[in-house]
Amino acid sequence: MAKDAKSLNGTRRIKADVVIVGAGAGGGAAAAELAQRGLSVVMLEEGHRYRPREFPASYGWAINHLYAERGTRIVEGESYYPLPGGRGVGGSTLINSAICYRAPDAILDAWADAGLEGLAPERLAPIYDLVEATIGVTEMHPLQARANNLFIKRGSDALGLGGGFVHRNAPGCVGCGICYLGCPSGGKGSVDRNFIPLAEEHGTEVCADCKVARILVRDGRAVGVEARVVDQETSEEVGRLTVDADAVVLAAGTVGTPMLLLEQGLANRSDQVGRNLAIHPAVGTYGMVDDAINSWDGVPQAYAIPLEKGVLLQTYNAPPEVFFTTQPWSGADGMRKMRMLKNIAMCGGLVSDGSNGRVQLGRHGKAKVTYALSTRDRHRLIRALRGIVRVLYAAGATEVYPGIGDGVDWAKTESDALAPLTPDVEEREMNVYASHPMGTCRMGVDAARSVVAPSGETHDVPGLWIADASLMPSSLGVNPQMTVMSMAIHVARNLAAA
Amino acid sequence: MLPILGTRHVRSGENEEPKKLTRRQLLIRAAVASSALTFAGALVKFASYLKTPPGPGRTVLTAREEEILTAVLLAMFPGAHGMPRADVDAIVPKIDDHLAHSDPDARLLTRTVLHVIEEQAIVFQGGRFTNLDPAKQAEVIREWELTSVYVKKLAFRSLKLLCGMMYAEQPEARAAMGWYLGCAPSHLQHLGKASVGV
Ligand SMILES: Cc1cc2nc3c(=O)[nH]c(=O)nc-3n(C[C@H](O)[C@H](O)[C@H](O)COP(=O)(O)OP(=O)(O)OC[C@H]3O[C@@H](n4cnc5c(N)ncnc54)[C@H](O)[C@@H]3O)c2cc1C
Ligand code: SF4
Repeated sequence: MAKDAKSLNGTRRIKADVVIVGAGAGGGAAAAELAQRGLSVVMLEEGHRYRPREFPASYGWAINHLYAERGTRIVEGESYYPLPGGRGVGGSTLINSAICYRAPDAILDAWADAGLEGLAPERLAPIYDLVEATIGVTEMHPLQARANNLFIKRGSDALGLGGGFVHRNAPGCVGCGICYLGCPSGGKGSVDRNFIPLAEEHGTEVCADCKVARILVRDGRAVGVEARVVDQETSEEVGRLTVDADAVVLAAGTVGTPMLLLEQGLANRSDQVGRNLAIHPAVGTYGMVDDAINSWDGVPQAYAIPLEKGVLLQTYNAPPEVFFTTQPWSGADGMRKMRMLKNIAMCGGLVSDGSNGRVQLGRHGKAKVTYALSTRDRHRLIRALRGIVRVLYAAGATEVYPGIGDGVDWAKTESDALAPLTPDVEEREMNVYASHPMGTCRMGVDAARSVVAPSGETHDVPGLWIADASLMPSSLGVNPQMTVMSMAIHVARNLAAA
Repeated sequence: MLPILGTRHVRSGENEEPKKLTRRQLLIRAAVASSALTFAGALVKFASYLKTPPGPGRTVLTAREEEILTAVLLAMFPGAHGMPRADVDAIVPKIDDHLAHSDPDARLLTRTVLHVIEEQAIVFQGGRFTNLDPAKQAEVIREWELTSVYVKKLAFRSLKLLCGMMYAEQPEARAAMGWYLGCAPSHLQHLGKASVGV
């Protein structure tokens, strides 16, 4: 039975074989695997547990309830990028777009060559099969895609770029177009709809509204955690929960997991905790179309174009509030332009990056996340923008915002739109977005250069395991949720066997 | 540290020769410098607002800040071309509530931007923002939108996102933009009642 602040007030102490911190992609998959193998599992999640009908399709509500740090988490570098992350039972899968990829073989081969044989393509393939079956991955039906995706497809086809509809874990999708606000139809296979109920069927106890504040360590071994129980409506602490366990699994995400370790100085003899952050930096831009596109109608991200090695274009739709923040639309003229939102097509592009970022302890208990965009990746972002501009014109856009500049005048021709997109465009001139944080507690053989051993247990603290996106040894280049879940299952199997 | 000027960076190996400034460049630098000075001046003045208690019925915003925010909202979303004007009576309490649950840095940033908008208008428009006529207020907002001072642009964007977020949830604004839920246009009714704050 799921518990939350209402039922967990006061001071309590419980016992389990394994306590999992964080109920997102990694935590959910690990819980199901461990519980099915007969272990008693308690899962603690900082955010609340919602039913799909409770999602009010509101950006304001979502950032206050479903986004880490109420949507204010940013990456600091030469410029500042938003770094969204999910919060609640389901974690980032509550707000993700349900795009599903397996990691490219070349990446898994490189990891295996570095000593992580358990992650070799042939070893991970059956786990990916299991994940796909559990979260309901299917080929996207073009009817769910609707106008924005079909418009971008038209451009890709015209240029012969070899784009295609993505696979998604949204078997009951009805195309509400607001995956990032919580799926109100329940059609998305976020982990609160599959792995977590499966874990509960096998006895897992899920405690929502519980923010883990401390990992308990006795004689150098992790033996449990302490959590603050917080009422989500008032932000007040209403209780304390201690879980004693034989093993602690951290699945608090790429930012949350290193924060817990850094706060206590744990598992950091290598000084690698928080380092090696990759983010899949992304950019996006827009084109004006004569016919109504209604970009909000249908799946937000349904079509992808592999533009070049390391650059993947994907459709998206920005909610109106985000859209007008990136455009100088206010006053009477801004209101005129807002009426044209329905005629705007949108496409983005993400880049497989070097791992140049870091999570550190910041002020007010928040993370300080820094990142240095390399020249290679900046150039890839510029080429992504150039690719999008070409696709938009090939599809029939009449005017295009090249993705840089003040946005006052959109370019009327393709050559005008491409002209400013030269290799010397600065990072600050683009609206960069950190799409998928990975890798702050990377897995590796060498205890001096990694935080977690190939099994998933930390090199330094016996009984302390990690099962989330922070494990990734390098950037993936494709949307990571299936790889996070698969790696978490791999770790859970090692833990169960230990 | 926030970098203050949004000028292009010179990478090593590029344009390393010192160049003489043209008259235009000098003027631009003077303008940027004066804008930074005003910013600093407003910040000093702002310190006194930190001690002012929240206005009646508010948790964070002072009465003065509420007045500035109201003027900013109406300048951003004045109602035109079939779009409704910002429903300030509904939006201001929601922003206050949002800030009440935000971390201290986010609260401070929003409040500071409001004061700087108010005070900086004295230098560029000859009066406080709240005392300007709507046309001049629109000019001020436009200047903030298009500023090349990077930190100013970012600060303004964070305020604009907050204001835009609340405005876009006005059912009439969504209807005028033609926005609907792909799966259930009837949800528009429900949206009107959605609680934006916590
Ligand atoms: C907007 C968005 C869109 C995305 N779209 C896609 C997509 O389409 N396809 C794809 O493959 N990937 C996508 N991703 C990425 C994918 O969702 C993540 O990579 C994946 O969910 C990461 O899993 P995780 O377990 O590491 O962390 P999360 O899923 O983020 O889960 C971490 C959980 O831990 C909780 N937590 C943190 N600290 C504590 C603490 N101290 N105590 C208790 N709980 C804590 C958090 O509240 C959160 O619920 C998207 C991500 C975002 C943000
Ligand atoms: S498009 Fe709508 S129905 Fe489909 S998964 Fe996203 S939110 Fe759910």
